[in-house]
Amino acid sequence: MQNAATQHSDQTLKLDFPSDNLSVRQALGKVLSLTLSADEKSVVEIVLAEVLNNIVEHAYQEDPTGQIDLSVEQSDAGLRVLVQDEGRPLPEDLTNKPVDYDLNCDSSDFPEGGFGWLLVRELTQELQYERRDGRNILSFRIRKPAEEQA
Amino acid sequence: MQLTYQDGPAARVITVDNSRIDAAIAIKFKDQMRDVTSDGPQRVVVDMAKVDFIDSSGLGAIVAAMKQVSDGRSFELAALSNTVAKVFALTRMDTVFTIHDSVDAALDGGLANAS
Repeated sequence: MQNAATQHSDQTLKLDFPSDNLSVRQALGKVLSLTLSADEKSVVEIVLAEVLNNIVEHAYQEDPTGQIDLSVEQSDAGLRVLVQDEGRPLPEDLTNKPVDYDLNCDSSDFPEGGFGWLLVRELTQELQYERRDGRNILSFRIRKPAEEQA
Repeated sequence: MQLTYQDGPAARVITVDNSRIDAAIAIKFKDQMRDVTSDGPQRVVVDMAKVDFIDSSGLGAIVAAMKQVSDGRSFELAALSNTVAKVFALTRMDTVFTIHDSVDAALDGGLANAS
C-alpha cells in the first residue's frame, strides 16, 4: 500500500511513498488537504507536482520502486518543504541557474520545455539542493501569499 | 484525454474536457490537438474552462499545439483558471498567447458572430 508511515504531528505532515504515479498523486492530495488558502494551494500544487514528477522521471528514471520522503511543516510564515530521494543526482546548478529564454522569436522557435524548474524557482524561497550519502535533499519555503502583498 | 469542437463561420472552438493537462496526458493532448486543428476555420479558440491545473509538461504541450497550427491561422486560449493563469504568467507565456476571459469574449458574443 502506498504512503505507509503517514503521520500527522502538530503542524508537520510527513509522508514516505514509492515513486509511482498513483502514490505521488495521493501524496500530493494529502498535502493539498492541509488547511491552505486557495492561493497557497495553487502554488503548492504547481511546485510539488514539478518537484515530485522530476524525481519520478529523472531521479528514478520511471522506476516505480524508488523511495520518496516528503515533509511539509506549516507555520505562520508559510510552508517549509523537505523532499528526499535516493535516485540520480540533479544536474549541477539546476536549482539556481537562471533559465532564460528569448520570446522575441518566431513562434516556431518558442520553447516547449524548461518550464518546470523555472516555476519551482519563481514560486519558492530559500531553495536549496544537496547531494548527501547517495540522497537528493531538496528544501524550500513557500511563503504565505498574504505576506507577499504586505 | 477528450477534445471536442464546434465550428462557426470564422472560428473553431475546441473544448478540453480534462481537469488536468499534465505529464500523464501531455503527448496525447498534443497529438489530438494536431488532429482537431489540421483543418477548419481560420481562428482556433481553445476553451480551457474545465482545466483546473497544468504542469510544465502540459504547458509545453499547449505551446507545441500552437506551433502545429499552420501560418495565417490563430491559436487562442479562453477561460483560464487561476492556477493555469499563474503558470502562464510565471513563464511569460501569457505574452505570446492571445488569452480571452471567456469563450464568449473571444467570439464577441457567439460562435455565429465571430469574425
